[in-house]
Amino acid sequence: MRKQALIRAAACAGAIQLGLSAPLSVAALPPDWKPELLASATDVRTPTEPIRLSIRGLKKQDLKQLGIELDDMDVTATVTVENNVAVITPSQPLDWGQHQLRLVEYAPDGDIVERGLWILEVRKSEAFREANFRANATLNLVRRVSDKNLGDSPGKSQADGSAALAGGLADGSWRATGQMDLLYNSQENQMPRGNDKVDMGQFLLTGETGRFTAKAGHHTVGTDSMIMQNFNSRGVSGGYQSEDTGTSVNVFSLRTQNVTGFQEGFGIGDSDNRVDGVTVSGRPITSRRDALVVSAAHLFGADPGQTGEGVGGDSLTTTEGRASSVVADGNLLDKRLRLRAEYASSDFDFDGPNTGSPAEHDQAYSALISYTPWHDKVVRDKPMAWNLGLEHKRIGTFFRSPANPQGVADRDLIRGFTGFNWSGLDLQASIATETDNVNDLALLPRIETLQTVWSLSYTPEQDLALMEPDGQVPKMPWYGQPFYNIGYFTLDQDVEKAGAGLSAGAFHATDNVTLSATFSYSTWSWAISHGVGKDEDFTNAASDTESELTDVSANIQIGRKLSLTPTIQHNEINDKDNHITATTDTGGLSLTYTFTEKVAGSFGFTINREEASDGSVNSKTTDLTGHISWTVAEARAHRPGLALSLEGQRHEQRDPVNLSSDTESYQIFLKAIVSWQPS
Amino acid sequence: MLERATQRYITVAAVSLAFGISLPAESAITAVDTSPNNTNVPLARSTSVAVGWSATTDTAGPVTVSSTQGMFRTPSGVTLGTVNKILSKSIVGPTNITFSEVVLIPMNIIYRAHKMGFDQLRYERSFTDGVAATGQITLFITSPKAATFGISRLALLFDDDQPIRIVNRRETLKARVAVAVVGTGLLQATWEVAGPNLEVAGPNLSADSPVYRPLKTVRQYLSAGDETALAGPELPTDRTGAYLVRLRVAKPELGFDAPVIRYFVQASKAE
Repeated sequence: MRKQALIRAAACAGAIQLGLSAPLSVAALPPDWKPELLASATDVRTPTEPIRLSIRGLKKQDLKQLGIELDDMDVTATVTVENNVAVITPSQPLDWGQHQLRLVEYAPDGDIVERGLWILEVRKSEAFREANFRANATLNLVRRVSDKNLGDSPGKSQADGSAALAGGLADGSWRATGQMDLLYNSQENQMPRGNDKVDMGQFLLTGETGRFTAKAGHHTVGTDSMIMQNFNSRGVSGGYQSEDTGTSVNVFSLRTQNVTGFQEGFGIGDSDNRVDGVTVSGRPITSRRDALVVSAAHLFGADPGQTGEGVGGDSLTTTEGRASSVVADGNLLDKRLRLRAEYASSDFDFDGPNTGSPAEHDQAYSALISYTPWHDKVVRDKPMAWNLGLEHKRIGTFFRSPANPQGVADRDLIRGFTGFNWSGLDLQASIATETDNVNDLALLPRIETLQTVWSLSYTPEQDLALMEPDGQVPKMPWYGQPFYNIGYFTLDQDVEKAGAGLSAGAFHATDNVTLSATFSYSTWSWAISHGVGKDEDFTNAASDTESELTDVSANIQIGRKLSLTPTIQHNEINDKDNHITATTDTGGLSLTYTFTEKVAGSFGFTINREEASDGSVNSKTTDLTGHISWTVAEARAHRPGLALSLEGQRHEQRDPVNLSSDTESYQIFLKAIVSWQPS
Repeated sequence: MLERATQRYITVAAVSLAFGISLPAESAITAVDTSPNNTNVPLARSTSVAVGWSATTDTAGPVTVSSTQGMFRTPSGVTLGTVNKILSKSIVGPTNITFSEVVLIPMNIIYRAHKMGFDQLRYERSFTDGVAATGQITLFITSPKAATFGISRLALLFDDDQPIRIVNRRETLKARVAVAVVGTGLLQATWEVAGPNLEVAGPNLSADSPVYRPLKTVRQYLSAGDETALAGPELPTDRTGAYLVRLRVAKPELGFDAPVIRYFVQASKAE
């Protein structure tokens, strides 16, 4: 109410500018009182520094007739008065940059008069508006105090650690930030590159000034398209973005295969392992910015093979290619109708540059239409939503982009889909027909695939009061808040065109159904799922199989100190051709307990049992882990923290089929954890 | 197979006699068979193929049967590439000896055979115990869905799309895997974690072989054309230190090193 009144008052007092108003006055104050913002006690105003307003003759009781707002928040109740000065102490540090302070007077006749309006700037220093540095570093000093049956064991004393560093500078319209992760391990072979005790994880430097940005380090560029999906790697990029026109342009040069560590600089020095490109995006309908987004991308680069950090695959094939795409994505009819179309082309050299065959040129396009006839319909007081759509994708056999190694090629797909949601019921369904050998290569067969996917979920809505009349939190039913789901997936494949040893006819069929349920309570939950699948190969190149997977898990919080996370999985795969059943059982229990604020412990147990009915597999592994830690001193702003921990782990493997794998070992460690979080 | 071995034996015998070298009595690999005899590989994707080699030696007594490399050839015999992996076992003959190999079929090899006008290529190995014989598996070049179920690429990432993370103690952390497959089949894999205090254990494990413990079993039907990203389980963050994460794939077997990603749990603010 007060805010609305203030707004009204401000509207009425349009002529009132900074500083003084007409001499409506508080009774105890002189009629011509003038508020004055006192300068900061230091060279610049800091985030926690009290803001002081000098008002001649001000007394504590005068505040009843005054209102003080900081960034549109009424802070009058927190204001103190010292020697005719109103002191406003921020309840939490103010953000760097400009803030608005406003003083109003409630006149006896009910009017609200603005007495002053100031813009304050909180700065780090005269040179920089913002300057910050944060670090979070941990060093573990580990002494193995007991062990059994270690082979090529490392020394009894080990150390590892990490540091996450971040900082930034800003002033005016520019900003520069940087962040870097550092890793340390006394065992070099446990480091990412295996040859240094200290190495770098990811890093990113960014710079912004007005509409321009620049980045160097690990980052993602571009929007998803058929030539570039989730392209995240080390490299450099520069961009321009106009809020006025909705236009953005980004040029980039990123390493094809991601890299970590103090190596390769910004990652763009090797032209055989680099992708260069440009993306452009615009919103051509100025009156309705969200109605249509048009984007385009062009890139070219080389790939030395799947050798990146965290990536496994063909590391022997060197390739090179270029690709372009244009995407138009629009919304019509109050966003009920979405139309998206993409065209892309690529020239990709599958056997590497300057050898064998030249680059293959190919094309891809996709078109999507989706319509939501009901998105705000109400049936029996419950909202109902329904959408449906159709998608067509045609991606050539040789379509490939160096910035999308995971991308799918050689498919001609038509898919219809629908979704329905009402009263806790959710249905998602799709049916797709697809063929490959899109380029109709004479030597290759063609497979026709029909795939259906159904998912039906139900979350019963419970009419629980927020609070019982006696003030108690209402009790949930014995079954908690349930969530049920049934998922069904079928895939039928036929050889449509014979070739390469395959005759026309039935090829492959897969069916899978999964039932799952989750029951949630106020402090715990549990879930169960069971899936049954069948896979048939009509060419008898592979065995027909049936599989079952049952999964039970829970997450239990008992009081404030104990939490338990048990899991059990049971899987059976029946090889119907060879009459062999393979069984895998995995169980685990994770427990954490907080003894006191400074003492905590955990315990973990996992067991894995793998068995085959023909005796070819018969192994069991069990692992135990546990720790108890004591926080000796918590880390403060400039004071390192210290914790001591006793940790142990035991590993046992029994394998009657492969006796050389049998092992039983344990290790117990005493660990000192030094942490430091300066900022 | 037998004819080829016999011919080679005769050739070696003739050369030996010409140079006055004496031959070991009745020493020869008489046959090399493969299981399967043929399989399907995709045109524009790499894949892995599990091959079982069965070599028969008629050498009596202790003998070492070995193969120094595998070779990709066109049906006309043109060599497209080699696999420099040694298979070797010492046995007491005469007997039949088996070797298991998971071989990566590089994309460029398949592509080159196709561009040369072939609908197939061969992967050959020559086994010897003094006298050699060669076996081969035929690789039919097909479309991606017609290929035998295999994995082309695995990319492990944390939820910030990076392969290395630093997290605070008790912070929620998950990994995911992007899988590119050819063919259709059931992925059988297990999410595993090692650490902290990257322990070593057992007489057969070196310091480079941390002990992984299972977290979650994965059984998922996959088909070429699916853009598949599988979410991993919640990873342990209750103790500070370095951890490794991997997806151990049992089937289809990988012809390349399984990727590993790592994270470090550091003390949280209150410690």
